[in-house]
Amino acid sequence: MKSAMSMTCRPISFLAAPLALAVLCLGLTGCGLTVRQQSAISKFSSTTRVLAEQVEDNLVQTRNDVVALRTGMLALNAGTVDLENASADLDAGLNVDELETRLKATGALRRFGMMLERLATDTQSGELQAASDQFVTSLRQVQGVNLSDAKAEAIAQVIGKIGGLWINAKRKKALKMVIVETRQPLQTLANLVANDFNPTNEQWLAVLTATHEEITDPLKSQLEFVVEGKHTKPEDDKSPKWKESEVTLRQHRYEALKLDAAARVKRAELISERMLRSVASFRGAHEDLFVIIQSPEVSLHRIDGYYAEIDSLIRLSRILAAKEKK
Amino acid sequence: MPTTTNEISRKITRASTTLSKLEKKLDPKKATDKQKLAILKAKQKLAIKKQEMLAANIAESGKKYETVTQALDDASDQMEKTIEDLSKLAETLKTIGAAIDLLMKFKPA
Repeated sequence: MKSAMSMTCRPISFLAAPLALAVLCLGLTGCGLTVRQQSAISKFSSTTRVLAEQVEDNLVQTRNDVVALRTGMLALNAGTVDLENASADLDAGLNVDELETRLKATGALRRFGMMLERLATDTQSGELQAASDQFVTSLRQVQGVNLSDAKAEAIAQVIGKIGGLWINAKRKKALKMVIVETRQPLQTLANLVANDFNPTNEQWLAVLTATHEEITDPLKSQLEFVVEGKHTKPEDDKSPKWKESEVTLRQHRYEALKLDAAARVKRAELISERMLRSVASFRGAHEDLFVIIQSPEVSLHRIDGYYAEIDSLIRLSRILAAKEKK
Repeated sequence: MPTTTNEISRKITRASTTLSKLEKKLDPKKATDKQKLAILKAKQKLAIKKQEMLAANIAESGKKYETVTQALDDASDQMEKTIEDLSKLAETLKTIGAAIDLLMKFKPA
C-alpha cells in the first residue's frame, strides 16, 4: 500500500506541482505595483498626512487670532462685537462646530493617507513565508511524501513567492480602484481648503481680514467720535461716560490692538500664500498619482514638487511659531 | 426669492463704496455729530452684515466638508478591509497546514 502510493504520487508531486506553480508565477508576474508606483504612492501619502496636519494647525490658529482680536475689541466697546449674535460674537462665525467639521475632514484625509501608504507598502511577506514554511513542514509529515530539506525549502519559497505575487496583484487592483474613486472627493477637498485659506474668497480666513478691517475703520471712527464729541457719547453706547484719562488709555489700547491685528494678518497672509501653493501642488501630485497608477512610465516631478512645497510650508510655520514665542 | 451670498456680497461692497464717497464729501469741520454718528452706525451695520454673510458661507462649505469626509472615510474603510483580506492568504496556508497535521494524527495503522 505504502510503496504503491509513493510510486504513483511522487512523480505527480515533483513534476506537476512545481510546473503549475511556475505557470501561476508567470501569470501573476507584472500584475503588482512597480517600485516606481510604490514610491509615488508612499511619497504622496506621507506628504498628504503632513499637509492635513498643517491645515488643521492653521484653521485653529485663525480662529484663535479672531477670538483674541475681538476680545480686545470688546474691551474697547466696539459696536461691531455683539455677544448675542453668533456671526458677530468673539469667534464671529468661526464657531467650534464649524471648526470640528473641518477637522473631521482633515482627520479623514490623514487616515486616508495612512491607509493608502499601508496598502501600498505592507508586504505581509514575513507572515507569508512563516506560513509557507509551516505548510511544507506539515506536508512532509504526509505518508508517502518524501522531501529532502533542499526541496522542502524550495517549495516553501515558491509558495511564498506566489502568495506574494497574488497579494501584489490584489494590492494594485485595490489601490487603483481607491485612487480612481477618490479622485473627485480629494479634488473637492482641495478646493474647499483653498477657499478657506484665500482671504479674498469670503470664507474662513476672510473672517480674520474682516475683523482687521473692523479695527481699522468702524472702531477707529467710534473712538475718534467720542474724543471729538468731548465725551458726548452716542445715545445707545452702553459704556460708562469716559474721562479724559480714560480716553487716552483707550487710545493706547487701540494702538496696541491695531498693531496686534496687523501682525496676525501678516502672519496669516504669509501662511495663506504658502498654503495655496501647497494645495495646488497637492492637486497636481494627485493628478499624477491618478495617471501613474495606470501607467508607471509617467514622470514623478509633480509628486516630488508637492513634497518640496509641503516641506517649505512646515519651515515657514516653524519660523512664524518661533517669532511668536520671542 | 432667496438672495444668494454672491448678491449679498455685491450689495455690501456697493454700500461700502457709497458710504466711503459720502464720508469723503462730508466736511469734517462742518459735519454735525448726528451726521458723523449716522455714518459710524452705517459702517458698523455693514461690518456686522459682512460677518453674517461670511458665517453663512462658512456654514455652507461646512456641509461640503461633511460629504467629502464621508467619502474619504468610506475609502479608508475599504482599504482597511483589503489589507485584512490580503493577510488572510497567510492565514489560509496556516489553516491548510493545521488540517494536514490533524489528518496525520488520525492516519490508518
